[in-house]
Amino acid sequence: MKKLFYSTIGFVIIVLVAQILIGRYLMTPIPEMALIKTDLEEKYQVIYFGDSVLYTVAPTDTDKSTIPQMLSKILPGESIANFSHGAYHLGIYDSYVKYIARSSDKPQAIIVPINLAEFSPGWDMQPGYQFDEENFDLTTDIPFASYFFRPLAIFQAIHAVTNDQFMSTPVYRGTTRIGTVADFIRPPIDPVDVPRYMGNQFVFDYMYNLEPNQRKLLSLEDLIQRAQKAGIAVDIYITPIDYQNGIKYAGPDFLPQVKANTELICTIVKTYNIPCLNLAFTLPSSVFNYPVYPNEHLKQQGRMFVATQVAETFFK
Amino acid sequence: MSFISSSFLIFFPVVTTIYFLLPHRYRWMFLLAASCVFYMAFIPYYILILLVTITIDYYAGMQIEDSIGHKRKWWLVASIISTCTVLAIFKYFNFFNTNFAVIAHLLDLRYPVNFINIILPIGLSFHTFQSLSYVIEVYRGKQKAERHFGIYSLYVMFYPQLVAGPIERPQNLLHQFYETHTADYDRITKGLKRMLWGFFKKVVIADNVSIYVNQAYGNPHAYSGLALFVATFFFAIQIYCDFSGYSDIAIGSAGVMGFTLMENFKNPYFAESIADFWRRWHISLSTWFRDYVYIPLGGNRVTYWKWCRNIMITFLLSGLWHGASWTYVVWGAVHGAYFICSNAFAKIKTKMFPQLVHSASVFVAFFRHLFLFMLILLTWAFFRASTITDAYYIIIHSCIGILQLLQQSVAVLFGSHSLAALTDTFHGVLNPVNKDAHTLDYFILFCSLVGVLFVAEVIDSWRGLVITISSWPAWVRYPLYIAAVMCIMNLGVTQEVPFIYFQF
Repeated sequence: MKKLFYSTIGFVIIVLVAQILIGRYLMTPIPEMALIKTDLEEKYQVIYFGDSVLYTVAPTDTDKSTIPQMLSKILPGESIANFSHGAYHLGIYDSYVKYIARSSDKPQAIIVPINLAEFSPGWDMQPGYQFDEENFDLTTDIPFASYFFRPLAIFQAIHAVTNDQFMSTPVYRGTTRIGTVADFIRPPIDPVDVPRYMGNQFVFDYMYNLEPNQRKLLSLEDLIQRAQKAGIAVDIYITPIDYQNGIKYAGPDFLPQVKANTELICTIVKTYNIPCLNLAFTLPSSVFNYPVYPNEHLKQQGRMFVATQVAETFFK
Repeated sequence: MSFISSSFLIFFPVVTTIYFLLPHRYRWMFLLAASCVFYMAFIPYYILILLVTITIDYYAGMQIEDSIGHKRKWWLVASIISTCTVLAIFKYFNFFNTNFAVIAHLLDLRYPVNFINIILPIGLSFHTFQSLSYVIEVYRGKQKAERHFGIYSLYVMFYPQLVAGPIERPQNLLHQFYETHTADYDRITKGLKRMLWGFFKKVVIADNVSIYVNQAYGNPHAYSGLALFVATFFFAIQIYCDFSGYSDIAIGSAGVMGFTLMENFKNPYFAESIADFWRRWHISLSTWFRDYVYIPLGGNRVTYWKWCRNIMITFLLSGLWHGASWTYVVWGAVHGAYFICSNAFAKIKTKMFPQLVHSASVFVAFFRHLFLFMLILLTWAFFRASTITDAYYIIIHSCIGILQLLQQSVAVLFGSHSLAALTDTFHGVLNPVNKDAHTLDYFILFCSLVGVLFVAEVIDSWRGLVITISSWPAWVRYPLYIAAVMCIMNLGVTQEVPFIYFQF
């Protein structure tokens, strides 16, 4: 049995070393991980987190600048890094703040936009929006651990949300359960009944009843505490949504429900003595940019409005 | 607990080590406890269902042996009914209820029975069939009733084969729990190699090609006919690697502890006829149906029409065993029809083309295999599709896709079409991969994995894969083992892809 014991130990060591070599030389690093390192090395004063709202432009825009670029133009004295990625959310920002807090080149401030759609089941539980690998790399302190993400995920040591779990996630209108994600997830637009389609999408994206223990709200609190402990100022705002079409298509209960959700977010933010800039109901439908389904992407005027509000509120 | 989980990677070596360290008299207790832990990792309180069926069949087994005359039969019937009732409630109630509701609706009748909202206990069809096998064998006098409740429980619950087989016979497994197994180096490494190949088939091959299959079968109307054909081909690979991979891990892990489980697969896609296919595919189930359904119905020692009836009953039940859905019933029915047609065709061939029957031509053999494989592919469309309508759509459009490809290829060959037409067709095939910039890379990976499987199957059918590789020099073998482990660790799918047969 000694032979078996020693050959097993030898085999395991070879496999571990091979995995480290594969991770080091063959695996493609996550671009955002490299980007945050560069941002920190270049000692940006402000890191502006965000999702696709930050950088999506409309074809008709004459100024195709992103919101951070517009903010930089308004505040030429500040060095602002744009750190955005489609579908980024409070959970992943929290992981990045954990990483940043460990760095010796910390920024003075971070800007954290809160997109109301990120709490919806269509975003919160979307398997592709979990960023498991980034979360693992950012939050694990064990040396070489990042090279073992794949095997750990394959053998379910890191629980990824499966498509079946996603599809069976309940969808609520306020506190009433109205179906599952499978009933709502981006069906092809029905040209015959556009109002019904739009109404469903507004309900799906915004009309959940937000609870203080929602995992992304917990991440928000975690993020604030981490940043404050590391001496980084946190500027938080709620991204504008197309509330006019929301009321039009989803009905009169749209506004009270979404308002209740934003109030909860701001209450949490304010407990940490941070101002909460609520831009959710500030922009008319005309400045939103969505040809297919409702979202928070903005036209030039909308992006400039957000940049101006951020500048005036946080950089007075 | 799934074999593809970090829990199992800890569970297996710990259980195996403790098993060998314990004195023989305590081993059954430990294995039973370990099997309970393994089962309870899914839905813990479902173990009570197992306990009920185990208790009933244990008691029935003893009563059958101790009784005489009609009493024996009554005990057998009672045991079968009680075991099948569990299966009927958990697996088939909603299926039959839906169908009765549809019939009632058509006849304009009120149908008040509601659905029951329950999750199917994992591996229910497997362990109930194993229990049935025990009572039937005791009734037939081929197996002595097991008087040790713990050992009988272990026979049903032995963790390597608890949730997805092989469906063991008492004659093969029960006596092994009384035998003393020592830690033998050769046997342990042989078992580990078998497990390694099982993991490779499941994690690397089945899970990867499932990406393509799930995408195409999830929304068949969005893809070209050729893409649907490729999806069905990949599903044939997926289901084989998924299930035979599970069986390899089960047989290998039992083998490490010294237990011999029955083989479940013998290179089924190399079969020469549909009967041969069923001698190679899910052997433990097909022999179960042969021994306990087909032969008791009269087998082939009856008139031709009765034989046809026996075949159809056996295959329809086999289809229904797989799942409570009409797609599985049709899948079984098509296989039954193949069986009958194949038999009729063999008679015609023997009379009219005797030279084909005895032909040793590689060409004839190749087309025979290809034709059979295509027929089997057609049945997999029913097995995988969500509805029968989807299955028809996929089959029809796959055929159209292949014909279009042939037509385009001929046209390109004779210069009436440019090569661009074929390029477009090929791009249509790539669509279900859905991996943005890496779509082609992934498709090449899927095809390469199929190639690896083919080579491995050829070697396996020739001398046995593990035996052949074990005979290679160490400098070839060890890098190969390490490469296989590295592929499992890096080429698998990070989202959980449950074993297909877990749902049965």
